[in-house]
Amino acid sequence: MTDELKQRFSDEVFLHIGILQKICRIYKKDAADREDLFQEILCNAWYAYPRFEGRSKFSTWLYRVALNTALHQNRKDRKAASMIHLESSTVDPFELEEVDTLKILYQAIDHLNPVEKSIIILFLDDQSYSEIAEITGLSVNNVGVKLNRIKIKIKKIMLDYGIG
Amino acid sequence: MDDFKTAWNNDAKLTITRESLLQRINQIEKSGRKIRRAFVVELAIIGAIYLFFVGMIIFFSGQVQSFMYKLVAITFIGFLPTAYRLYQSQRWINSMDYSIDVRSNLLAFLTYYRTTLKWYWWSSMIICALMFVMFFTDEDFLAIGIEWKIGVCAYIIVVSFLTRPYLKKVYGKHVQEFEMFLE
Repeated sequence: MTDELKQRFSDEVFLHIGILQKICRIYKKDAADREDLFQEILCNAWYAYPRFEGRSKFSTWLYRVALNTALHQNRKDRKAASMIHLESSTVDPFELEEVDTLKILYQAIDHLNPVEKSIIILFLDDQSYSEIAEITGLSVNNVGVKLNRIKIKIKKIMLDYGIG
Repeated sequence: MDDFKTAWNNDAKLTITRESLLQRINQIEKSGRKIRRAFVVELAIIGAIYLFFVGMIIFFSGQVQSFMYKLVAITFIGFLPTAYRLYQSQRWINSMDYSIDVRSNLLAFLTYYRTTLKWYWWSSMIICALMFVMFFTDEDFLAIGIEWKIGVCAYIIVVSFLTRPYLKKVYGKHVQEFEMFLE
């Protein structure tokens, strides 16, 4: 591998580093596990990079590598859930503004299974249905169906928390 | 969901600098790909158990009964195909193309994984069957007390019956989630 290739890879990954950090945060609760996952994604991306021909956008390609890696890294977290789960009785819907919206979202996503997580991540990152289909290998219609089911599931989780 | 989308896209706390990213890539390039730590730990534990048995045989050779030798030999030989397949799986995972779409990737993984589990199950069954044959043709084993014989038989039966539920419990949920996605 030439230094030029390494530099180009590093520059492109850096532009999308936020994607990788969010994926690691969704799939791993423990900081050390997140670090492991990040390193593994980087490793898999680096080894696959010479085959990247630019037919798809770099972000699409990186999503594929990151999600495939996260789905395969199915080891349990070293520690029990470090995030504090919201109990339905502890959240007052009238005080919702004070609750960190993002934290609630991460906690709701935490209840989804690994493959559902991958679809909702892509949706939240403003990927179009056709881009989600390209990354996941599902048909556009199937993406729509699965996404609707996931949204209903998240809504139900929110209602269980007393948010809705 | 749109509120969440906005919050999600505003969440951009970067904890990695450009320099540290390049440093990580340099490290990857230098170290190359390795067999996963979990697999190495599993093999090390199995290796330690065998070393313990070998140590027992060396130090207490006069007191160790013949069926113990056979037991160690059978489990060792019986486990070899599984260990080889697991090793191959690790190499396969390392050589996998992670840049293909998620569906194709999971499909390839599931096919390979199911075969590995079949190998695991069959090798457990073969070990159990061979143990029965070996124990009841071994003079030393036949000479031991009935409670020991019952205990050993019960153990083999329990292991052979629990192998499938155990495999399902450990790997089943994950495989099921993948299958749901592929439907």
